[in-house]
Amino acid sequence: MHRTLHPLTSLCFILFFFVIALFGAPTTQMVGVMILLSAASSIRKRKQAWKKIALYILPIGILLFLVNSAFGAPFSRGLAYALRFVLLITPLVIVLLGGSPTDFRLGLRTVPIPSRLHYLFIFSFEIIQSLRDVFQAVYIGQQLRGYNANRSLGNKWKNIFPLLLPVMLIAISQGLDRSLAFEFKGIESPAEKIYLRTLTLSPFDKLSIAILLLSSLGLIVASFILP
Amino acid sequence: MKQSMKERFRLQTTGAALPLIAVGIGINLIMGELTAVVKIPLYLDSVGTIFIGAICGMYAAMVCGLMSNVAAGIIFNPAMIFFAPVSIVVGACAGYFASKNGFSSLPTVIAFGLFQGIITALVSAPISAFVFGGITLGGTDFLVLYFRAIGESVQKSVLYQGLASDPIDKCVSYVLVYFILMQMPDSLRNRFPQSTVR
Repeated sequence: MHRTLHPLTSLCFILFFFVIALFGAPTTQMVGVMILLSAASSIRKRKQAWKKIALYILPIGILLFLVNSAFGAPFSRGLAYALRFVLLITPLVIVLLGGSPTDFRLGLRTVPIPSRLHYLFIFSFEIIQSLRDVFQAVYIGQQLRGYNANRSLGNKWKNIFPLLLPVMLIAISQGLDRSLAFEFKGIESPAEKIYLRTLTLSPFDKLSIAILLLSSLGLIVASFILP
Repeated sequence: MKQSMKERFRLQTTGAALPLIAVGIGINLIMGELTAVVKIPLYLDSVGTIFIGAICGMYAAMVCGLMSNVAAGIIFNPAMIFFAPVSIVVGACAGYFASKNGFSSLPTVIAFGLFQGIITALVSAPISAFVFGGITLGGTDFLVLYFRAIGESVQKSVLYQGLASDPIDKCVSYVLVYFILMQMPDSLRNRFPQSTVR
């Protein structure tokens, strides 16, 4: 996990655990959880991964087990819900924390999606931080003008407008400026773009993808054949 | 001349619309911070999608909804990715509603907001029940637990919880977008060729 994985390998990793969550027997699911936990220990941001597991995945898993084992339901039902949740969410956490945004950007270039959608993906991440700053600035500005959010429940919805409207107008204005630059640069040009750096599938990636896909297929077939 | 679906998708996700879709995604994601500041017990995480549906069209709103959940999954909570179909449906409905000149009067907006909430509850309930078993560590979990305690199944409990909270959330989101559109200067509104609001 320390090496740079191609995003397609990461997607196959997620897919494999989705298949275990949906088609695997309880024992397979438990083995899957063990593999995931060991994978979470070997990624670069392992502290963040464990924090996410301890503060988000584990409490919901325990709650799912308790709630679905209560109300007269069998013990195995609660366990099935908890295991399924862990198997569906943990791979996403591992992939998101195991890779870097740069890897995803580079990987996106090799996926045959229109360049405008590629641009949209990158720009949306850029604008989120910018909008957060705008929101904070507007909030402080409105507070200086006497804005007070702690009013009665009936007036609460009115409090949204002094914050939302300026943020939206600033955001739209920024977006329109971008669109002018965007059209000027000729993003819609049919000529294929040349990038200085792209990610290619290494032999390790190809082997991993083949093993993960074959294992997924095997699990699906086994779930139909075995009782 | 009637445009094909592919052509409409291309038109709505290019040029001036493209950066605005990104703006819609950003607005969806910062609404969480806004609701925390104003202290209202609503998500309002589809305001950006509905807004894009009104000014750019259905396909742009669907892309905005999908990308919002992917971005929220990467930045905040990976589980948000599973709710991407819900945001796509919200985008499709908002775009369709706007194309029928729905944002022209407040009562219509309120009625459609409530209707949208019911559709959202119907789409999100199976996902919430299957992935989370009804537990999302949110305030609405108490409603799910209440319905479970009175003997309802997971699916029904999640659906009832959705029907209790989603219509209000979507109705307020639609009303907010309506007021924003009314407050927008004409000079700005007229710059969107796909805009259905005049």
